[in-house]
Amino acid sequence: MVFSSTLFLFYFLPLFLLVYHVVPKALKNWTIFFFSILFYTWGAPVFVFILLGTSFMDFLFVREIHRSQQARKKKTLLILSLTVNLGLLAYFKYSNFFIGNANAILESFGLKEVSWTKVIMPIGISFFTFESITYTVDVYRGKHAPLSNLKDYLLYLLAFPKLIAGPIVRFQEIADEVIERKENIDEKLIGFYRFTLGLAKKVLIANVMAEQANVIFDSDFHQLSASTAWIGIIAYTMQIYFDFSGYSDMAIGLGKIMGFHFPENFNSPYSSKSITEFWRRWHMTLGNFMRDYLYIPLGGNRVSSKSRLYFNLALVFILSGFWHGASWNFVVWGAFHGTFLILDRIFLVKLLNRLGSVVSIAFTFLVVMMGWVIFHIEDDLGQVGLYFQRLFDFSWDSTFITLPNFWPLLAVAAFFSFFPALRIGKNIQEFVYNRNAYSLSTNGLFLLVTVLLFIMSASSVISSGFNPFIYFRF
Amino acid sequence: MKQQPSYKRLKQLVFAGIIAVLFIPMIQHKFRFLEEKPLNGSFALSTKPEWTKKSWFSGEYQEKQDKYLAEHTGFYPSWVRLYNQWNFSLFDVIHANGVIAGKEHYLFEENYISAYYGMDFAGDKKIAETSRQLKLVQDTLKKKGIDLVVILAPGKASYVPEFIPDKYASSKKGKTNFEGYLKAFNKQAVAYIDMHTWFESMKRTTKHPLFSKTGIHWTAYGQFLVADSLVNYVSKSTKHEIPRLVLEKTELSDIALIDDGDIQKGANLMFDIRDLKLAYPKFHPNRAPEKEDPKVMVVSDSFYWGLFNSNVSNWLFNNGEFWYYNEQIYPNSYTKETWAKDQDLNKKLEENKVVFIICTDANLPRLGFGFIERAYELYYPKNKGTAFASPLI
Repeated sequence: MVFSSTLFLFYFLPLFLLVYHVVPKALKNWTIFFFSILFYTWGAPVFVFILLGTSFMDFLFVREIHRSQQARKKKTLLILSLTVNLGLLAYFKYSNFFIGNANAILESFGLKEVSWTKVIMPIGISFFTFESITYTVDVYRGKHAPLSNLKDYLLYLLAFPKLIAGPIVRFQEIADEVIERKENIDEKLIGFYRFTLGLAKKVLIANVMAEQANVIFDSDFHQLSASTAWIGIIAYTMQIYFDFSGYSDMAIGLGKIMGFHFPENFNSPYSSKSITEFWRRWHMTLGNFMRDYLYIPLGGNRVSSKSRLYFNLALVFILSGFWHGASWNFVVWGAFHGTFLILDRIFLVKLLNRLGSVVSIAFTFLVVMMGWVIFHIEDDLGQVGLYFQRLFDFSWDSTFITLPNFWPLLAVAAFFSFFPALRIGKNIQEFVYNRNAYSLSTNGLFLLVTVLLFIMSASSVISSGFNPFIYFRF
Repeated sequence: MKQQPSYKRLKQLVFAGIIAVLFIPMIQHKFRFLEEKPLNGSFALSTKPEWTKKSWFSGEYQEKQDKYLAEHTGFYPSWVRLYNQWNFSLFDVIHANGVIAGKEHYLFEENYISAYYGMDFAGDKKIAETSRQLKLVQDTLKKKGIDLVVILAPGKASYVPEFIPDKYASSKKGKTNFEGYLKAFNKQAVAYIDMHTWFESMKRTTKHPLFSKTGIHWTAYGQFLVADSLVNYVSKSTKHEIPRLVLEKTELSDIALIDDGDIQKGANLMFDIRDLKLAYPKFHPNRAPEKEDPKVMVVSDSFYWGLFNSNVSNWLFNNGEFWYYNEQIYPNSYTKETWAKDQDLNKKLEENKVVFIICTDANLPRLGFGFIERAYELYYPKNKGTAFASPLI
């Protein structure tokens, strides 16, 4: 089930909100748990059993880690738990990739291929695997005691707002709220505003950008002109940001309605002045996870040599890329970003600082866009190369017809992407995103805008498939 | 210091209101407590899926249920109209199959724009061959006393190209099917009526619009002129004065009435688009049809519907048949579906004195909709390849 669907907006959500606010406090977590199971089962009716089984196993491992006084036993259990989690991820997400590559190598040597039935990847596996890792590691590190009952653990793991597309909520960030959280009406209203803002980002902007990008990326790249290729990648650049950040907004908003404070996942990444800064603003929860659970354990910045530092950076980014999907293009994308992070450390940040904000933002945005070319064209690096060729062959095609709403919505998307680079934009963003309460008049204004955006988004969700033939007699 | 009021109660009320409002579509879906104005156009809504263990675990049930709920949720038609309206108002986007919003809210069917730019050009070879067959069939029927004539009729895009959206301006105008057929007809001496040029010539002088902003077809006024022109042609061709239409009065409206706003109707907007000042002639036939009046058969695309519905076939063409796209036959199909393919073509043709093939720009790639080819097969079964075969008369 996705948030931007009729089923969710007008059936699941009202029922959940009603039940959640009617039941006594003791049953609130049960309500979230029950609806989360329903939410996930709807999309993955088979995998839900595997998910529950492995979660139960994890729960027991971690409880044992916490109880045990022996360092060695703790470590063994930690390794066991990580093996189960990462094994699950490796099997469901990467086995097709590894077998496919192994077969390609075998074939090149003239050997018999391994026969293999393709594994279907369950939705959200990348997110809840990482979250269960944080649970294990945070308890192991003594950052927080484990949850005392399985239902609370499953609630942390399966809470439907963040279950299938993040943000990645680390256990220590939310553990106390799972057990005991304060809810107040101001945050509930803000949660609804935030949810609607995310819905509008996804439905009104990202979907249009996607439609335009798909037309171009689904075409034969040999026939593309440079102008069309640029339209394609700009559209995709906006699509991925408004889609993903919109989803995060919806998750954070729903969390607020229930009294949870999920971490922010985006902070105007396209107004970054370097790739290093971009990664502090883009998919922040993944960045934080990688920093705390991989980069720092590898030694982080406190390493004996520059080459080791660069190796750590490269490894973390290659793995970050690989986390996004089981395909070489994601690995290359991770390496591409890792390269720019290393260049930032060597000289690039200093140079960009000297060139000023406008140039550094433009340059960073261009690098990010080039990265999205690699990211978007899956399973065929040759096609990636061809697309880059098209981008820079300086041909102009005046006959390419964009969607009628593409340019106006691109202007809106660009405005909201770059406006926070200005002080006034930053202040407005702070006001919209980081307040816990508003005055009555501000609430009134927000409510008005929210209702308008909700109606537009809902009408779009419900109607987008309706495209009748106008001849009545056919 | 005085504490600011928190308006907690009011906020709680607002939040409860939000939840209550979210329930409305579900309640309406369940109980249909309010009447909903249905949507226009041709579309099929999904049916409620049946739950089975297999369909549940394969995800098929969920997929179908998602679709079903989207299409049957409360106030679905209103949601669609709202969506269509704001898309049209903000971006000039029309959500109907193959419809394009042009300048000044002129609505076009995209295939007519393609025809205007020659994007659908059938090719000289095809045009020449169709014209050759048509000529042979015409000559054969002439000998039987039947006048078969093709009417090359203008579509909206070729009549008001100045309102085609700018995004098409970069399209290179290639050779069109209309130009191709005109040339081929003249070369092969095919009998035809060029309504394109006629409409073109009236564009500056016409008292009332011949095309509306929001319709596909000729306006009611345009149809009235066409009907008059067809009557003149038939009377002249058959040397028999057939009934004609007598104009009683003309009413004006800047909201498209009858079928003058047929595209708009299918676009399912909330508000009507303000149209041109359109004219609606009120008329009656000068006399009832008589037995000896010539029968006129019409093979046409949808442009003839307006005339047919105005009783032109009934009053003026001695109850002649309308072969819609050479498929369904009217008025017979009103009572029982009657198909052209099931008819004895020779017998049918011989019932008529005049046969019109009306074809507008977008349909020229399939001029006659198979009627010409079928008639050719009928009269020239053994000599398909030769232009000078002996017709089976």
